[in-house]
Amino acid sequence: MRTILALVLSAAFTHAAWAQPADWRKQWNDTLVAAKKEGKVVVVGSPDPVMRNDLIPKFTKQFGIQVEYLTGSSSALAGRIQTERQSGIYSIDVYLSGAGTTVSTLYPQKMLDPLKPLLIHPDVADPKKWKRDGGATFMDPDGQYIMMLFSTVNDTLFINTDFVKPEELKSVQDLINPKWKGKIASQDPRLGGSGANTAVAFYVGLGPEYIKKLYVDQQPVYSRDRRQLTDWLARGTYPICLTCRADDIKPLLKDGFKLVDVFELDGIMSRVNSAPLLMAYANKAPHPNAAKVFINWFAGKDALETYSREYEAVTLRTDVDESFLDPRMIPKPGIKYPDDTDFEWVLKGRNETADKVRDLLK
Amino acid sequence: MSANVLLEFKDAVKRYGDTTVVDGISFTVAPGEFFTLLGPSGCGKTTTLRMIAGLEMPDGGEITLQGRTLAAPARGIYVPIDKRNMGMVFQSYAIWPHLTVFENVAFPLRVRGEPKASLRKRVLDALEVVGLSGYENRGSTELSGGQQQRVALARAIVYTPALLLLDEPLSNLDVKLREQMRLELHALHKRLNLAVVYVTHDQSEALALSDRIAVVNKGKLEQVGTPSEVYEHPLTRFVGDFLGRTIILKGTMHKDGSESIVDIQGAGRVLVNGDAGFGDGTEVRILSRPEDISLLGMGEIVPNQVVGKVEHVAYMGDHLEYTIEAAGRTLILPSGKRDNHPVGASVRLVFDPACVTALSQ
Amino acid sequence: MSTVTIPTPASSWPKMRGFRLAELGVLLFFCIVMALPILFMLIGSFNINPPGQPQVFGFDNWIRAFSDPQTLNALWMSFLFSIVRLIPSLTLAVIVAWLIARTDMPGGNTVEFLCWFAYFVPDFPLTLAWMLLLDPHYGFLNSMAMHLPFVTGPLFNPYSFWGIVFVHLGTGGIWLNVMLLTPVFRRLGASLEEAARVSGANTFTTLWRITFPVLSPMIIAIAVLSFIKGLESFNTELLLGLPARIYVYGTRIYDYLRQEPPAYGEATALGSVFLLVLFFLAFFYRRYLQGKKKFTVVTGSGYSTLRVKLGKWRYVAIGAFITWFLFMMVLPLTFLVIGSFMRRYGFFNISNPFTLSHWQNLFGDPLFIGSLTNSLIIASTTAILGIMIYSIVGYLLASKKLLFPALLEFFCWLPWVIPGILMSLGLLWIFLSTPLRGVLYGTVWGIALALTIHDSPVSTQAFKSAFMQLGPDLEEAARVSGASWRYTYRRILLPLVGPIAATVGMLNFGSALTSISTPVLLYSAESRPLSILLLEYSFTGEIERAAALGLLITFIICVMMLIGRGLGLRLTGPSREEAKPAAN
Repeated sequence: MRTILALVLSAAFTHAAWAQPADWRKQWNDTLVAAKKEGKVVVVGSPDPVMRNDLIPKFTKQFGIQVEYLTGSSSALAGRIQTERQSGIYSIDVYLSGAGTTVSTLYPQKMLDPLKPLLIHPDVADPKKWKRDGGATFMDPDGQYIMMLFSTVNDTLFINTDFVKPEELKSVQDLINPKWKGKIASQDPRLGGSGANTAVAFYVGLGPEYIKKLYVDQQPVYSRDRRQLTDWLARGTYPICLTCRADDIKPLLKDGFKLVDVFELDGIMSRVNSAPLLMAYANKAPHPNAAKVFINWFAGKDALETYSREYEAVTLRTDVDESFLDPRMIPKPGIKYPDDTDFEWVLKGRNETADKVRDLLK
Repeated sequence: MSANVLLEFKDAVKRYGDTTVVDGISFTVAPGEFFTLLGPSGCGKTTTLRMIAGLEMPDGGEITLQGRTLAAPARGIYVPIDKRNMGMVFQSYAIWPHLTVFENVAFPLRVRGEPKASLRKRVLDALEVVGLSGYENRGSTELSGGQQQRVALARAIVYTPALLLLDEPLSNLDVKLREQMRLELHALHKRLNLAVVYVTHDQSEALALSDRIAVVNKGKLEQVGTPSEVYEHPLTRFVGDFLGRTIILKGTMHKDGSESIVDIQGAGRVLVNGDAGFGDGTEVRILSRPEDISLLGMGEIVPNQVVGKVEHVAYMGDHLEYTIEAAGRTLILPSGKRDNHPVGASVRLVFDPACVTALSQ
Repeated sequence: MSTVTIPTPASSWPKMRGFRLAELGVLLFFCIVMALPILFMLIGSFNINPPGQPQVFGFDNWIRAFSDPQTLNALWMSFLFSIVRLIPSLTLAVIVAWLIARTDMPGGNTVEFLCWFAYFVPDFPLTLAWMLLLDPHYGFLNSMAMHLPFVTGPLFNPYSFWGIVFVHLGTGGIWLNVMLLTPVFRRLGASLEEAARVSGANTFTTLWRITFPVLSPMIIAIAVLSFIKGLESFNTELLLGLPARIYVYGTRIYDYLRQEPPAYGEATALGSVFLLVLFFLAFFYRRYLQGKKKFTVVTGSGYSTLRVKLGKWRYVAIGAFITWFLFMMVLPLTFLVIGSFMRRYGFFNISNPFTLSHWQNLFGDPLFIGSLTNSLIIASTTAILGIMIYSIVGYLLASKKLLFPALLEFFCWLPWVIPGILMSLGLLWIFLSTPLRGVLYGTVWGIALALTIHDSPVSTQAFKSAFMQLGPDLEEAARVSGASWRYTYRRILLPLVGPIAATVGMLNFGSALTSISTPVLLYSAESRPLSILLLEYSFTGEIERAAALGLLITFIICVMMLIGRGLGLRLTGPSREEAKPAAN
């Protein structure tokens, strides 16, 4: 009975039925049966409503497997999970975390098992489904632990065109025009996070003098709160925002606010990143089969397209509709963008540069 | 142990750090006896009472009630407070403000698992005894001081304790109420026939209520006796002073056969009741109560008379008060209004040999 | 009746043995749940290798944390803020508490209730409301002020030192201070004040020369409490401080914890400064109290209270309070309520600015019901545990018969001087290392225990002062009447401190509902509380839904408060307010 149910389910899942080698199907069905027995999968991630309200119910409905979704700031969760592991408790199956946590905590502390072998469903295992050569992309040196799902061109900054005309801000030199003194808002570049990342990008592209001009002479205003920065931008209090996010801006655009994200500034190379998340598989996962099902499903078209739509992120899949995205955020083929979420860069280069920025701005 | 001993308090010692608060006090209390610990504040009398109740643990000695050892530190015996079956009235009354009068009084019975029906009767009886019938449903904070005191008393007697401990129960009342409560307490004691240990610093309360009084000073027992014994024949100067005004004169002991006569430095000679163990020629003091001395105008000086000089007369309404200089000391003596001695006149102080005690220098 | 004979050396007496046992038990408990986690964190802070690698010990983390010039600057700002805030907040709280408890100001109970209510309005959304009201560019009050004559620029700027101080007057400890001080004033025996009045002192002199000095140990304890709480505070500073480049100590620690990977070592090093401050304060507080040993029992016979007649000033007093409350609480709260119905908080000029969707989304969240249930279980357990544990701790501390009073007192303060997240991490470690792991780890019970521990300073101080004011007679009377200590505790002591117990219970309940930093490391999918939901909403910028949830939490606390007060008053028996003078 259970097998039949699993078959039906798997048929529903792979509605685009093509000729399958029989062995994946058997393996997949066995996994489904075992996963149902495990009953749940424990996923750590950022507290995003799409995941909680949309994707998790969908997954549970489709496979009958509960998802325990643990959220919190990544530092708090990292501390918690380390402590648990020291006491021999392994509670997590799948990590959906940002590059920082994954690269500087999960991977070096050997909290992961290879994820690549788990990709058994043709929908994700088939290299043709992925934009990059060789199929699914892994960013770690071993090429099998940290799976990249997105790669989007960074928007450099946002402006409110009621206060700043787009033609007034076309190059990096425009940004340090004294006209915009006291008109720029950013997350604090000294405190890590996106504030630091932006400053680091300017440092790499334009050197320390530019950093001084932008962050000292222009007297930008700092905030820690995403919402505060967005509101400032919308009200024109500080009409240039260095660290706002497209998904925060989107609802304001619907209300007619004239906010524009600027992708390219003359004088600096565009960069890409893998936001909002990277996927990794915990070692000693308590629910390995359920985790396997979840991973195969999450890397699939449905889940990623939902994310792409809600978070304005470009997936690495070839079959996801991209018509609703701003074309400027889709990396142009053939161009080798510097990647903000490159493994070595996250592990070392970024932090070292951030330290240099911090020293400049002390 | 004698059948006539209810409580035996033996060589009890209590120290707080370096201070010895109770320093080897011993006494016994007989069944039905009203026993008072009298002394100034800080003398250790309250600590003594609290050791009986079990609120303080003695550092030495033994306390025995009805043949049962309550506390004996040397033998490691200590009966917890709640197993001692005492009734106690605190100086502050310690009425529980969150309970009604009824519940306050019922508390000891509830603790003892008294059945509901008899509980009610016993509480109402106790309230009647203290004259608070009809107050049982009052909140205890709605009561006056005197009423609170009665509640405390009712609570202490409601379960017929082995011993009733009263810690300065009248000291928070005003003068009139205190007189009234003193009378009621006396009547209550007679009626219930309970042994009472009573702590007070008020000598008139002690004298009026007690069967026996123990005078305590600086952690030591000065004297135990009936009110008249301690009053008339204080064994120490402290007891004499504490229990009322005393007249004290210095002199030299003379033995004349079986009689002991004290020579008051040329001002006269006073016969002393018993020799109190003083040898011939010993320097002593004699002690008498002012009211046991009468004043006479000058005349022939016979034994038991001492000469003095009036320095001042004060009119006190119902009597006169003379300030008299005698044998180098200033004495204050009351006298009836009819005896009239002008200032500057010489007078004779007439001692009653039965009421004169000799004390060592 | 049998003689209880226990053959022991004379030095260890049975009565004291029970007492000592309780003392040692409490000490052991605190050692395990407070000292050990902190020790764990401190040792960890000297480990300079990242976790997972072999431990290497050194001072690198500490040197890094303290060599940053920003650290000292932030520490100085924190002290400055805490001191500057303390003065008006304590003064106002003393006045309000005195008005409530000792005068015939009308509506005293309502005033007290309002202070309770205000304390539990979450400060994060309230700060957002103040930003809307005071922002120099678009703030509502500033715009209004522009219409006044002679006003040419913005009057207020919340992004400044004084702006932060001001906002704290509405969100911070002032309400807590009133809550803690009112029962203290209420229990003060009237006779002391009456004696002063009889001696010819007027109301003011009596207050100044008698009431305040007599209550000074309690007032100072509450001041120390607010001061430490002030050092720890950073929500308001986080939002208002950064635009003005004001950094406080709490935000420094927060920043270290948010690094990738989180710099627990540096954060702990910074956090340990609070430990030093605590040592310092504890030392001087004890010195101060030792000089005033006689002040402990301040209740006279009974506590029937004669209230000060204010005459027509009573209307001035209540009027002033209402004005203050309207401005400091109702005004921003109204904005908050409106905000929860706005499509975008604070944007009135967009089309169709109002919507019910945030409330609908809140109730429609599939996690809502489960989180609500968890939160209620956690908060009730915390309240009950708090009353049970801290009434005993407070009793022990008040008894003055402890072997190690300073140590116990010190332990009780620990949870507030260690940043919540570090304390939680240490506790998680403890939970995992005990045989009770199954009961505590990831469960509502573990979260409740952690929250109970976190509230120890205020709970302990509240009970301690209550028992100190009670004096020993009421307890001894019950013991002499034949009641065992346990029976006495249950029937006499606990009901007598009923209002305090209700206060502590409500405080624990409320902070359990609102606390985020404690449960964030301890919850699991089955024990997720509402506050984690709130965190998620704020994290993703859904502040409207966060505001709705914040208001809902405040509402729940409000309901519980009404129940709690009723319970507390019933425990106390015939209340003083309702007591009628004896008929004769």
